[in-house]
Amino acid sequence: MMIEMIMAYMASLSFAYIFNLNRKTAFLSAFGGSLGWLFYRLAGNYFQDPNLSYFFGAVSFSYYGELMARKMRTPVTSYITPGLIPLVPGSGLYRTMLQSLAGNYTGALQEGITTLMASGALAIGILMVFTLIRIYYLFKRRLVHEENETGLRK
Amino acid sequence: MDHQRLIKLATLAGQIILESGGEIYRVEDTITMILRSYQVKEAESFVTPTGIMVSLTDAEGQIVSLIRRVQKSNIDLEKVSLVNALSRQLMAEPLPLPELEEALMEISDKAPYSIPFQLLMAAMCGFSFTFLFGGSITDALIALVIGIFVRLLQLGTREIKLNGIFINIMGGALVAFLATFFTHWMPLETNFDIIMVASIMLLVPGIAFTNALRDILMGDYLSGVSKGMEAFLIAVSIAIGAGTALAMIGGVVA
Repeated sequence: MMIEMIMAYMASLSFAYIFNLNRKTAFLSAFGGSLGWLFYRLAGNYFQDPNLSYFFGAVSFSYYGELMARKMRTPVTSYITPGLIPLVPGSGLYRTMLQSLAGNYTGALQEGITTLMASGALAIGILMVFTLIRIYYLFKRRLVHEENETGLRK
Repeated sequence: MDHQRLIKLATLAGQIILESGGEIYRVEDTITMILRSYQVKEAESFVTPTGIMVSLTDAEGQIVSLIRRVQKSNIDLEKVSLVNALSRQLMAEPLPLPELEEALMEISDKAPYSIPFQLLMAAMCGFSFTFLFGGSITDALIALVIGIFVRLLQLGTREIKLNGIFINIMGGALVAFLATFFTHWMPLETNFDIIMVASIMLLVPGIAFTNALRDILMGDYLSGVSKGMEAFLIAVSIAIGAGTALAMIGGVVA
């Protein structure tokens, strides 16, 4: 498991540099990749459905990404894109291709839909964290605002 | 205030983000944010993955608008981040236009990492993905070599501005050829499938695909569908390349 996490870190780091992030951001953002992989594997122990594992993986790295992006004042994309890399269903895409080349169209369709579901789970995970964090900050800001107003009235 | 120059600069800022692979809503937000920080009456932008349309109305009701066709270049998140920071800085304190132009030009001309470093990273990508997919150290070393070749191909074809689909056909063929070369003609214990998957990761449009779904879920249907189409075509072209190469080699090997 430890080795896998280090490898996920390296995969994320390599893509962070290929996407031309600066050294510090690349170094930090790659942690998202290994975090996502950790949660993906842990969830795999508890749930039968791989899509749920993808979902939890996506939630973990995008939560990390949103927090870090706010802290370091960079766009969230800089953190989420490298974090997504280890979980991207590239192998599913490859197997879809292999099956359709072999003339096994049922198998290709099955692999294709599995890949589609996995990407959907990842996208929903990312989007859910994005929305919830936005709501959280909205409420927080409103709360601070109200406190200030009542403070003024006193 | 020179509104024609302002709208050109704001569009340039948006263009840099769009070309570097930023999201559609970020491009739209950045353009309107820059325009609004210079006290125009109304500012509106409409962005698709291949074009930007901006329009502003000044205090006297004069309308200035600009359309720009955008060609996709390569993903460069650093530029997205820099333009984003610049637009936030403008909100707090608008720079004079010549200085803004200088700052944007500086970001636009920023050089990527050196080629040897990029090759090293591509090598690391192939290497680490092999382990993630459960390969052995031999597989990883082979994927490392293939990774370097794939990146060389990508960089080389980018220089001569080849069509993206054609690049991916060539990339898929290259990966399939090299993987067969190493697994069939070398006396090594290897797993062909894992090597293929790990080295193909450098080409796969997984990011584009997930971003497309994200755009659709965010309500940007137009860009979502066109990005999804792009991702699909890239995947198909990798498959065509790899499939053709495998079929040809299969005839030779078997």
